[in-house]
Amino acid sequence: MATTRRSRTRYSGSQRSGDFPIACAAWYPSFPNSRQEDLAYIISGKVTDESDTASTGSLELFHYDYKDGDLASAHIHDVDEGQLLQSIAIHPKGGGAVCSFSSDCKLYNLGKSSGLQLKVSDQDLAPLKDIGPQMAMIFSTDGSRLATGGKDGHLRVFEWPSLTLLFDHPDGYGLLKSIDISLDGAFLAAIPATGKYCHVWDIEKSTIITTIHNSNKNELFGLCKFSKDGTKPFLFLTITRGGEGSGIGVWDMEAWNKLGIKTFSRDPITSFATSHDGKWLAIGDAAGVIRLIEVKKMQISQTTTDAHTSKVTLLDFSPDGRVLMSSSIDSPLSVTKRNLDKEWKEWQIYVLLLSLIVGSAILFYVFFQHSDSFWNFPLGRDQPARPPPDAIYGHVTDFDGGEFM
Amino acid sequence: MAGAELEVLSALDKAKTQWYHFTAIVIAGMGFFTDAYDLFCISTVTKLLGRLYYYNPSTHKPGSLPPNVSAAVNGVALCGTLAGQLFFGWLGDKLGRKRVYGATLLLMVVCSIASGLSFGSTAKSVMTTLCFFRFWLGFGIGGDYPLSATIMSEYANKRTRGAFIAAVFAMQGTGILAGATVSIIVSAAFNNAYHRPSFSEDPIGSTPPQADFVWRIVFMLGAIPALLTFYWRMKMPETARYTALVEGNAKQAALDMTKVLEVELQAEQEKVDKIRAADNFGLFSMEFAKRHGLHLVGTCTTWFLLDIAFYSQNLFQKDVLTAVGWLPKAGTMSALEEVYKISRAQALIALCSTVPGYWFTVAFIERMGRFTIQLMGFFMMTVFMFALSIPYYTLRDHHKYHIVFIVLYAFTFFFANFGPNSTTFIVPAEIFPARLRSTCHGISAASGKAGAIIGAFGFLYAAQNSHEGKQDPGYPTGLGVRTSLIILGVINGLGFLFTFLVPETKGRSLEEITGEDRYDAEFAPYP
Repeated sequence: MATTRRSRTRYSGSQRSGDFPIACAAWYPSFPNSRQEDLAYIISGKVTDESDTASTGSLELFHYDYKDGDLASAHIHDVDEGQLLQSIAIHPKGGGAVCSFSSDCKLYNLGKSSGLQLKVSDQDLAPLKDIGPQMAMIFSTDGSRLATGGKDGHLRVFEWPSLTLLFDHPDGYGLLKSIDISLDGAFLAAIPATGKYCHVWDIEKSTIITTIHNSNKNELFGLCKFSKDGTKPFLFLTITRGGEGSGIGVWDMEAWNKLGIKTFSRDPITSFATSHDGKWLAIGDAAGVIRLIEVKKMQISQTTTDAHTSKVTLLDFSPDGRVLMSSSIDSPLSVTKRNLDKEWKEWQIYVLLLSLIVGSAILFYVFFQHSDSFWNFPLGRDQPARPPPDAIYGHVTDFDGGEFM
Repeated sequence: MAGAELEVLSALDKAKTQWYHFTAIVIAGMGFFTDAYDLFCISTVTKLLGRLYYYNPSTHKPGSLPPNVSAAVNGVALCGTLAGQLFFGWLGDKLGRKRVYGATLLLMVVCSIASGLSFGSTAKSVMTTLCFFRFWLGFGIGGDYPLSATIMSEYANKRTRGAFIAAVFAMQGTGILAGATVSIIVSAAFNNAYHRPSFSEDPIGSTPPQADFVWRIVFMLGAIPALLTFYWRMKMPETARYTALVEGNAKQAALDMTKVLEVELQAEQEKVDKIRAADNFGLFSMEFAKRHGLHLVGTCTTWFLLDIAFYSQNLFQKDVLTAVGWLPKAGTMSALEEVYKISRAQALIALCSTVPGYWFTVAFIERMGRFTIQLMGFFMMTVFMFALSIPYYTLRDHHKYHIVFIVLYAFTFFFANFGPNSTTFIVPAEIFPARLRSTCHGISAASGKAGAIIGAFGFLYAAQNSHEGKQDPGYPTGLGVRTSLIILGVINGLGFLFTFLVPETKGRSLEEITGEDRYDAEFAPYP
């Protein structure tokens, strides 16, 4: 018996005010040895100057503190690239951030050695240099594959970090709006800007597995995401139906049959994200409303209406899933806290176990005091725990070599 | 040119996969290895405990543990295992299994070391603390068992799942062998350093005080495989896997998802309602009883019966072997010699019958199928058990027949492992519907452990000599070894019969077996 939590939360996040919009942004995964659980990092590409012919931009690094939740004072570093960031993909295991600019691709590292600054890596990105601006880039879950979709519709999958080209589809499918790699790195899904279909490829074999079409003329696909939950093998596609609202359609991954659709919003869905454990989805629509959906029941668990007033252009869950970053044209970069159920923490298990052990130790002690009849030792209650003294003191063989003396 | 390069790449890929599978087997199997080592090593040292702490000069026999104490020492770890399975099973659902790894392995490491360090000022304190720590060691083992099973699922792929699981399970045989080997090495080393005359020559002197270290060291060394398991599990790469596809739960997941989505066409509404109704049977419903009731009875009884035979034999091999004369009478050996000879006999049996049995299962399970292997296993166990129990007195009393007895005895172990011991583990994971799968597997495993406890305790009492005066001190007269072995033969025969309740799973898709494919026929997927 599930109760729907359609809580309209007051906006409980923070915003960074700025004059210029954000092109794209992403969370940086936390350092594996980091003891600071309350800090996280965001990299974003800011537009610094807009003109008709060219825009320039810079990269910004933000340091987000979970306790304060304040982004305004969190800006810690700025890299002026002179060119606009088209898309960014951050390696899930901290291998760096691949940034695609209008004329170049660079890899940035964030690490203790660079003093919490963005530093261009020495790693050679030759295969990525001449392919032009990439509209969409994404790493697979284990960080071994990087998929990129160019402005010309050229779709590529590279192995990381060797950057060997595994998959190459130059056929213009038109501007690629959305690409995603499945959890096990086997499939690649892509939706062109027209939204009329979604292709799914087998990456290793470079063959098309299936093409999912709209079921009627009114329907358009928006964005695609594979499920990141290993127990639920699904492909999620956002669907906008003129007049009937928009929602998420679910396809299974064996026969690629449509399992169904669920409508969530009156307005078209403009951005889509999944949490790292695959249990939550987030959708942002053209009216600036962000909704958090629990995959198990496909129900909305949280709605945020006052973070943005125009269409949401970007959504990203933080690596631990506690907060959600979003951006729109009018109010760049806000972070929304999530109402999460209290989970058992690890230390609580240990406390429980320890108390059970101590409890049983007490029981054993009581048993110990009263258990003479059970043990039935031949020499009674205080039988020493060793053979009789004769065994130690009484024999010549004791004093051969090999004794403790 | 490009073609040749691609060939090389794909060959390397294949090699990588095989190596990867091998390391996955070892890593996933280390858990089972540790469990088997810990549960088994007690059997090599119980005689030593008796000599150390229960020596009674008036009996003129080496000290031996009274029946209730022996049962307690042998069985307390099994009880802990049962409790641990329940506790960590519940916790794993709440917290996610990966977070529970650290807790179980830490518990096992601490308790292995602690049981070796049992408080030693009086005999009572030693035995009590030993039982305390063995219980909690069993608790950790019980928690680790299903985790090892889960890791196996994550690393197997659909094609080779049966063989992979059997290979991981075979690490148990290696664990038993390791337990016996460690006892051999430690007792031989100590015997060499502190050589003593036999008990009949010098009752008190036959047990050096340093013998106390032997059993403690054997237990403490059990911490090493536990640490290795922990280390390797932490180091294992996170495999991103659709475990639903590997375990065959995809259809169930799709059904669950369909139920929460909107119905697009009115005509589909009825179908959805039907799906909801049909799919909603729980464990205690009539629907389950009708479809899978007999299957559950089958898996539970066969596992129960198997474990009675398997654990009673594993833990009391030495009594049987002494009764037969393969192990010399206790009085003719010193304490350390006895440990050495017992461990050597158990290692030989493990090496020649237990371990090969597991590997034959790995080789043949996909070809012969689980049903055939289990039937054959139980049948052969029954045959061999009767073959050695009916002419028992002849085999025992004539020296030249000792080899025959040992060979027949070894064959029962071989067919226990090339047979029901492996299949009773694999089958429950394949025949129940996905939603109830882990619950049913857990119930079958728990009934298995119940059988193990009964086997361990029951055999101890039943195998005592039926003539008054000839049994071990403190025990009531029992039925005698021969009658006990005949009873075990009957139990194996019952296992054979109950196997017919369990369906064959080889070659059929999981949906066919669980009956979920009926949904396909009636309810076509959405267009």
